[in-house]
Amino acid sequence: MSATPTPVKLSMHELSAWYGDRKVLDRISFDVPATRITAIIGPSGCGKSTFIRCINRMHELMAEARVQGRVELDGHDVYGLEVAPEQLRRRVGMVFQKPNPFPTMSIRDNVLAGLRLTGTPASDGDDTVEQVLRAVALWDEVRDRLRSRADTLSAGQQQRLCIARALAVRPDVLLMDEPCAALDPIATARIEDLLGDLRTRYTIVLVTHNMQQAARVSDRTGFFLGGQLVEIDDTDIIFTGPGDPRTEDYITGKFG
Amino acid sequence: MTRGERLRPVSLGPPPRHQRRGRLFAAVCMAVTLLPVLVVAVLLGALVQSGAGLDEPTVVLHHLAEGGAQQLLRSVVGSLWLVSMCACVAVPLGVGAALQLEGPRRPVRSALALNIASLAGVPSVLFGLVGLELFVRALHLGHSMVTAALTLALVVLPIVAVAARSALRAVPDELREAGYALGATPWQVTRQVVLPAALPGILSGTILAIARAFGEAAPLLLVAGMTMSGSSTALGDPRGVLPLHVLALLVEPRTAASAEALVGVVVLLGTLLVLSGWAMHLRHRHERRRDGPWFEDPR
Ligand SMILES: Nc1ncnc2c1ncn2[C@@H]1O[C@H](COP(=O)(O)OP(=O)(O)O)[C@@H](O)[C@H]1O
Ligand SMILES: [Mg+2]
Repeated sequence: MSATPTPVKLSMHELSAWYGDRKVLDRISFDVPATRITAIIGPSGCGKSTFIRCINRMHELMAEARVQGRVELDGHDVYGLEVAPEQLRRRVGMVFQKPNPFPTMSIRDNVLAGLRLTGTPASDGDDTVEQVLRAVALWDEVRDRLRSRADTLSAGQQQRLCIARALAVRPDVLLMDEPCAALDPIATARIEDLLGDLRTRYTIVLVTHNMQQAARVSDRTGFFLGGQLVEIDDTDIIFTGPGDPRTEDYITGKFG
Repeated sequence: MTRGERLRPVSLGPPPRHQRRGRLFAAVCMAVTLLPVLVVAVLLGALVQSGAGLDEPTVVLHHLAEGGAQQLLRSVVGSLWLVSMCACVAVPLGVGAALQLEGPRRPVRSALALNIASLAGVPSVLFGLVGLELFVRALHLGHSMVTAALTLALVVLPIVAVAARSALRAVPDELREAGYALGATPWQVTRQVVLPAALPGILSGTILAIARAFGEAAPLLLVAGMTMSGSSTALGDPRGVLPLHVLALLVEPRTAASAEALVGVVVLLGTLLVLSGWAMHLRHRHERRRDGPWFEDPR
C-alpha cells in the first residue's frame, strides 16, 4: 500500500527486554514510518505486548522488568537521561486490549482525563471534547449524555472513548494492543474504519492476533515469533509472498 | 439390583450422605448468622425488663428532665467531638500506611502489613497503656480530649489501614495503566485514579473505625480517667463521652441510674447500628459497581 517512502517516526535498535531473568524480546530492530499503520502479528506469548510497552516505557513499570537497546522517536532516544517517561507517554498514546475508561468519571471527564491528570488546564475543554469524540465517531452517539458515567457505554463505545481519551493529549504516535480483542465483529469493524481515518494524522503501531485485521488495515506488517522479529515488510508482501517460511506457515494457519 | 430400582429417579431416594452433611452445614451457618440478632434481642430484653422492674418509672423521666438528659446529650456531643478528632488523625495515617504498603512487593512491606493487621487484634486496654505512657507522660498532653483522641486513633488505625489496603488492592491495574499511559506521574495516578476508585472501600472502613471508637471505653478510662464533670468545649479539657457516661451511671448506687444507663446504651447501639448499616450500604454499592460492563472479562 505504501509506495512512497515516508519519514521514519520510530526506530528500534537491538531492543531486548526481560521479566526478571527471563528474556522475552531479543534484539528487535526496525523502523516505523510516520503516518502509517504498522501491524505486529504473531502467536500469543511471542512478545508483542512487551514490545509496544517498551516504546512508551510502560514496560519498566512492571517489577523486575528490564530493557536494553534503543528506541528512537524522531531521532531521539526515548531511554535517554533527559527524557521523562511521563513526557514521552504524552507523545506516544496507548490503547489497551480491554477498554479501560475511568468507570466513576463521566464521558466528558474521561476524554479530558489525560489533561486533568497531568494538571494541564483544559481552557477549550468543550472544543477538545467535541473534536476528539468526532474523530472517533462517537460524538453523535454521546453528545446528549456527556455527563453520564463512562461505564454506561457499550464495550465498543468504551474502546472508542479510550481512543478519544488518548487523542485528547495530542500524541503523535498511537500504540494499540489488540484493541478489538474484547469487541464483537460490528464494534471491531467500526474501530477498523476509525483506524483508516486516524492513519492520515497519527503514526499507529497496532498489535493484533487477527491476521485478517492486519491485512485489512495496515501498511506494514511485522511478524514476531519467540521474542524475535522474523520479518517486517509491506503488508501485501507479507501476506502474498513472505520472505521467511515461518511467516508463511503462520499466516496460512499451520501454527499459532 | 433389579431394573426398576436402577431407573428410580435419584431425587426420590433418601438424600445421600454428603447432601445431608451439606444441609447440616447450612443449618449451622444459619444459626451463626442469627447469633448477633440474638445478642441484640437479649440486650433489648434486659432493657425492657429493668425499665419495667423500676418501682417508679417516672423517677427516671423526672431525673432525665432534671438534667440527666442534658448530661446524656453532652456526653453524646463529647463522643462526636472525640471520634471526629480521632478520625482526623487515624484516617490520613491509615490511608497513608495502606498506600505505602501497596507499592511493589518487598519483604519489608509484607512484614509491616502483617504487623498492622495483627495490631487490630490487640486488646484496646493495651492501647490505653501506650497512650498513657506516650501522650500523657512523655508528651505531657495531660488527661485531655487530645490524648483521648490520639489514643483512640491508635486503636482504630489498623482498622482503617486494613480496609484501605484491601480497597486499594481491589482497584484494577488496568486503571493505573490507563493513568500512566496518559502521562501521569505515580503521585497523580494515586491521587486522581486510585484513591477515588478506592474511596467507597476506604469510607466504609473509616465508618467501621468510627463506630469502634464511638463505643470504646477501656482505653479512655486509662488515659482520661472517669471525668464526667467537664462541660467546657475547649479541646484540651477532658469531657464526658457516651461510653464513660454509661459506665458511670452503671456504678452509681441510685436505682434509677441503671435505667438511665440503659437509655445511654440504646443511644449507643442505635448509633452503632446506623454507622455499620451505612458502611454496609457503601460497600454494597461499591461491589455492585464492579458488575458493570467495564469489568467484564473479554472472553
Ligand atoms: N508481567 C510479566 N511477568 C513475567 N512474564 C511476563 C509478564 N508479562 C508477560 N510475560 C511473558 O513474556 C512473554 C511475552 O508476553 P507478551 O508480550 O504479553 O506476549 P503477547 O502480547 O505477544 O501475547 C510471555 O512468555 C509471557 O509469559
Ligand atoms: Mg499481548
